Amino acid sequence: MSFESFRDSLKDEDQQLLSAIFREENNKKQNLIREEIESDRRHLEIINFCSNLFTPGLELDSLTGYRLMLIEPLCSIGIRNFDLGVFNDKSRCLLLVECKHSISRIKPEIVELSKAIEETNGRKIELEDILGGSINYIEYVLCIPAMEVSEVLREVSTQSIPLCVWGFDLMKRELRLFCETSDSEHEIKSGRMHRDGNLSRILFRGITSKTLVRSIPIIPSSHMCTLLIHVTAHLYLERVIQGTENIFSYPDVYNLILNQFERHTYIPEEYLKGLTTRIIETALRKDIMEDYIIRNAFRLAEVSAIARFKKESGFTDLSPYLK
Amino acid sequence: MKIPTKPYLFDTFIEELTSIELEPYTRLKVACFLTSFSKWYDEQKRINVETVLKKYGVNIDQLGDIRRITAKYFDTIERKEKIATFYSYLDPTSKALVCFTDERQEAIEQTLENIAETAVGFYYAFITHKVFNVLRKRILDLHPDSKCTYFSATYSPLQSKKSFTRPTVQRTMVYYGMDALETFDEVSEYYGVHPTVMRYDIPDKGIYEIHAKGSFSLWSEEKPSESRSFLLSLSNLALEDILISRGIIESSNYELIPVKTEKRTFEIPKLTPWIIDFSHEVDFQDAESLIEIMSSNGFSIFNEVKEKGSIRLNGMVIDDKKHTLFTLDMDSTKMYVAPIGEVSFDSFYRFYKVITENFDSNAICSRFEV
Repeated sequence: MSFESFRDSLKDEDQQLLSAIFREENNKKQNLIREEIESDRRHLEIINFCSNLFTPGLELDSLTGYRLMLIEPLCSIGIRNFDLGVFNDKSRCLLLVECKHSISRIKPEIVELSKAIEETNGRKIELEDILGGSINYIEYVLCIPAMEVSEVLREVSTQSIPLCVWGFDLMKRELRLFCETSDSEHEIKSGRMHRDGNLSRILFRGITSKTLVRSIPIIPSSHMCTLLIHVTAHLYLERVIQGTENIFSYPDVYNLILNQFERHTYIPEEYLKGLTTRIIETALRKDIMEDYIIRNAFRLAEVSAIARFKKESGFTDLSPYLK
Repeated sequence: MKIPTKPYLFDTFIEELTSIELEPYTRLKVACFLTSFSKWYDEQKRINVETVLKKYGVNIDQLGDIRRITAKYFDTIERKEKIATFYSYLDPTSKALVCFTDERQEAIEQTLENIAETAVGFYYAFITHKVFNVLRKRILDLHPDSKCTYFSATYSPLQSKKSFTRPTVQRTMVYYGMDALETFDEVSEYYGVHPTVMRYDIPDKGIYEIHAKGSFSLWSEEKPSESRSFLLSLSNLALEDILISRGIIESSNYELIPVKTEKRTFEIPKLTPWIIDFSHEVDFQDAESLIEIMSSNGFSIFNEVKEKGSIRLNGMVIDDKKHTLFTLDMDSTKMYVAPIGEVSFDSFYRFYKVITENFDSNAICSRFEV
């Protein structure tokens, strides 16, 4: 039974209650999806801020030898954390950087990161395969807004996690390394300061990136809406430039995202195929973002409206709807 | 314009142009365009100026270094379709296309200027407020007795610098008078307008009209040869300044830097932007206006981030007319613009025109220094 049929089967009074609940839930879900998209874009903004700093050939690369090499390096082995892989060819140190535009629940997020660090340490060989070279040691980095650093540092220290904390200030366009104590030997030993003294010195002083231009417009784990809009834009341009009709096929979408991602990470074929299918299934249409929000919020609102209706009306028999 | 059909070198064509008798009630004009091409036809290249123009139904005849270009337009006075003729020179060094004609302004607008809106590697030599000022200074330095006798100027409420007087009113001002320059300075201050056309009466030379879309018109001439040569020097002067902006825009770059490990090679994008420096600090409301301006001029921004307070706007942009993709990042004082893949200069120049024409008429472009 559909949501609508269920609603129609109710008494007038209950119908009105359910409709009112549904409207409220629908608005809530729309706002929630909007927030998720906004959050994804802000995440992408921070990723670009960091990756622009470590672009090969620019200041930080020439001063320290650390250069951006991988985007979402662990994506292919099923670890969702860490957005960037920054590698130093001489020391063979790999920095795995997790970017967050804000941290709402510090403790659980740090716990999650701690688990990801543990898992990654156990899969170093696979990571070396992804990088295509040997790794001497890995340093983990959390990049967050500078104003959230002190609380996060405290938690990192309390949980004894080997995690360097970088704080960014997008107003100043500045990135800095923060440590809880000035005992560098202790901080290095506990994995909360970089072993490379030169890198630490430069990052303690702070380094600025002049621009937030999008050198990385999408990443494999980008929100479906961000991906869809990007893919649509590319497909539209390709077709207009080639003078072909506005039609596309599965390989067009597959190759487009393959070209985008294979440059800076290894992505398994199965993952790409799945992503391509989801993009096509969600379809390409005008005002895709609004459309996406409305359709998905509607679906989610139906489910939560029923649950709330059950609570508020005392209605017990939901079996026809649940079937 | 009765130019004999024979092969010309550029210099011999100019000799011919400055000495021929113009038909009554016609005016000599120079319309300037910027292109990506140093030759009319280059078999090594996929796109050529000839193929681009022919795609838009333009006919091209070769007269040595000069090409006679003919295209259809609709004459709004005679209410019928007519053929407009232009004699054009493509400068191999600057890649500027300079078109000479005695057609009316609407013929230029409906043919070459219209093509420039969408053609790849082709755009009109848009004259910004700054270039209007360069020309004004040069004219007054060389001929202090010159008078500006006419101007047309516009203001939009979306502009970042609001007019003192009724800032929410869209306006176009047209002024005739020997004090047009002084009047323009006064009204630009109070009514926020920027010039689209300016006309100068230059003693012993003639009357010259300058249009923002890069065309120059000789309204009356004292001595044909000298007056026409001065028309050319005016257009050259504007082009000199416009080509500096073009050089800045073309300093932007998209590069994939290969980084190697023992077994793999990755490619990391390195973007070199060009910069639009605003003439004053802009606020969040201005950033919203900018998105509106971009959208109504065929630039769609997507996957953008907008931040109030410290003002940040960054995201990806599609040029719906020139079919390119680029990225921008703006704060309260400047905007960084960088290509994603190959973006020909004309798309960026069109963007620069849209910003200076609708958002900040005194904005200038500059190079990105690492």
